[in-house]
Amino acid sequence: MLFPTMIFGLFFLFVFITAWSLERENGRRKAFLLLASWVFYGWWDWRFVGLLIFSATFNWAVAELIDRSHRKGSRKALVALAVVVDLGVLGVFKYYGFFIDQLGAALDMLGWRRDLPLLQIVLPVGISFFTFQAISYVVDLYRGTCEKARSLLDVMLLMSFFPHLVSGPIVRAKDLLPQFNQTPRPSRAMFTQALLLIVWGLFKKTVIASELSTGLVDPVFFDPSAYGAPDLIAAAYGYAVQIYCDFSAYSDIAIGVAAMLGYRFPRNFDQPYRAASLQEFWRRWHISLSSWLRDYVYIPLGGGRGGTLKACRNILVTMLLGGLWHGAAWTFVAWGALHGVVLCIERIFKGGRERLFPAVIGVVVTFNVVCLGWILFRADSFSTAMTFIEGLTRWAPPRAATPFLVGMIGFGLLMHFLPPRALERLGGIAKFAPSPALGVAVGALMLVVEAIRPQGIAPFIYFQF
Amino acid sequence: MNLDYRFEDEIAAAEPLPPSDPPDAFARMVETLRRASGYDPGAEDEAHDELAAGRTHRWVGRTVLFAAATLLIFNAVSLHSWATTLPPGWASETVRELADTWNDRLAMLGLDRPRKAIHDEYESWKGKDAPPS
Repeated sequence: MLFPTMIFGLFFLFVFITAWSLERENGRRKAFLLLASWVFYGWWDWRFVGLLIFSATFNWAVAELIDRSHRKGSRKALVALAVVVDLGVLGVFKYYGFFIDQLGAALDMLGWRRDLPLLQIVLPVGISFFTFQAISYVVDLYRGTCEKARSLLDVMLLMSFFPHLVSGPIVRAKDLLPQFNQTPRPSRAMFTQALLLIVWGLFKKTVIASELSTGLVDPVFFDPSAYGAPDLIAAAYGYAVQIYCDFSAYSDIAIGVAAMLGYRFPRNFDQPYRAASLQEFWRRWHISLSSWLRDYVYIPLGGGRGGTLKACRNILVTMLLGGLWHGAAWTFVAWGALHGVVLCIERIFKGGRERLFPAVIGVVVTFNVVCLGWILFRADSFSTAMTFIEGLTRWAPPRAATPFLVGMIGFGLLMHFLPPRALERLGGIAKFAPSPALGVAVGALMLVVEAIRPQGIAPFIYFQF
Repeated sequence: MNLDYRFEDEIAAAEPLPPSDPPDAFARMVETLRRASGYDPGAEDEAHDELAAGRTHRWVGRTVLFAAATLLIFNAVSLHSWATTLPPGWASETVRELADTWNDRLAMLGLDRPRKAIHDEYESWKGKDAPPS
């Protein structure tokens, strides 16, 4: 079930009405939301609802044991068990084929060709997100930074809650579990901002991301050798805008949908392309993942302690794992490596300064480094990425980059330079409107989006991760 | 003993309050809107009490209702398009019939024109021939 579809609209209307009609019975309300989340997830493949239930039950049981255990050694062993099992499940579903391929190639190179057991394993949607969420619950409980869930129902809902289930944001247990303790009491401002976020998200996904994807990015990345530098540059910048509009739209709609049900999710994007350094970029892009990697990979590895060399090693390991998290392919690993290397360069050369370059130059340099990374991220293979990069020096008149699409790219970049929190501020004004006026205005905005969006909705890019 | 004590004198003798920062343009605009709408935030934003929470829910319910009604009336073609994609069956056939009739009736009233006009305008702006909406 995709967010910007009629079926999701009808599903959400039903969930919204029923959830608020159960306002006085928090337990039943949560049970209903859990059932709705399973229906939402089962819409893709019912079999994987079982995986979701297994993962939640297992992590709940381990968390209970950690809470009851008073010996440090056994608590540590339990956390290790949970992390190994969670990563094992993720590894089997997401990386089995990749590692078997690599092993086969390595054995072949050594002259020990073997028929390795290849399996066609379907990747459950959102497995990376709910696995990371489960790990954060168990680890936070072990560290004492999060309270134990009151019941299995709470852990199940924490992991399965449909707005964040398939593409995040990765909501930490310490942020969401306390909200489950009682029926939420959202304010008018929260509802208004939620409605605006949903409309804005729909616009970004179905209009900007779709137009750029179908008109420019997909054809150019399909055969980069057929285009010259202007089209290739436009496609690289276009993909930067497309992936931002696609993924941030999902986050906006997820945050908005959760807020309509009364729950607050953390912000996941904060105008990332206005970052003046790569370090700042990662504070603004996919914030829930970057903070997860910081807290559960980078800091346990030693973080910035122990000198520049060790800090750079930790950054590189974290970013390589971050790249691999996105997908089982070397292009993602190379993308992570590029980010890791540039972060290390920034760390080494900036000294005590906040940034390596003055702000304006920093924004331009950072954006172009990020776009270089996006070429690796988007290309289906290294050879396609190399063909693309080689083509950046080849002149040919633009064919795919029409003025309209260039305008779209410009608009997508300009939105990064709006005043921060513009939508929240707008919500602060709109909450004073009478309900019929606001309702008709929201309906009219959705009508405009519906009228101008291209036919058909492509799945969100981050569904594959 | 001064029996002619007046509270007002005490106020007058007190140090004047330091001038507060003037509200910025945004805060002034929000305050003007709040007054114009007659909306009293009071405890509403925090939604501390049952009454305030109930008022917020009714307001949100009406907002969602009006948004849905606007779409149902002016965007009937989307409902129709979605219904045609449903797999065959008794229920989907019923939905399809209802969506067809609803779309046709509203088109007869000309209520599909705003969507078409926006679509055509956008397509001509894109510099392409507009496909039928």
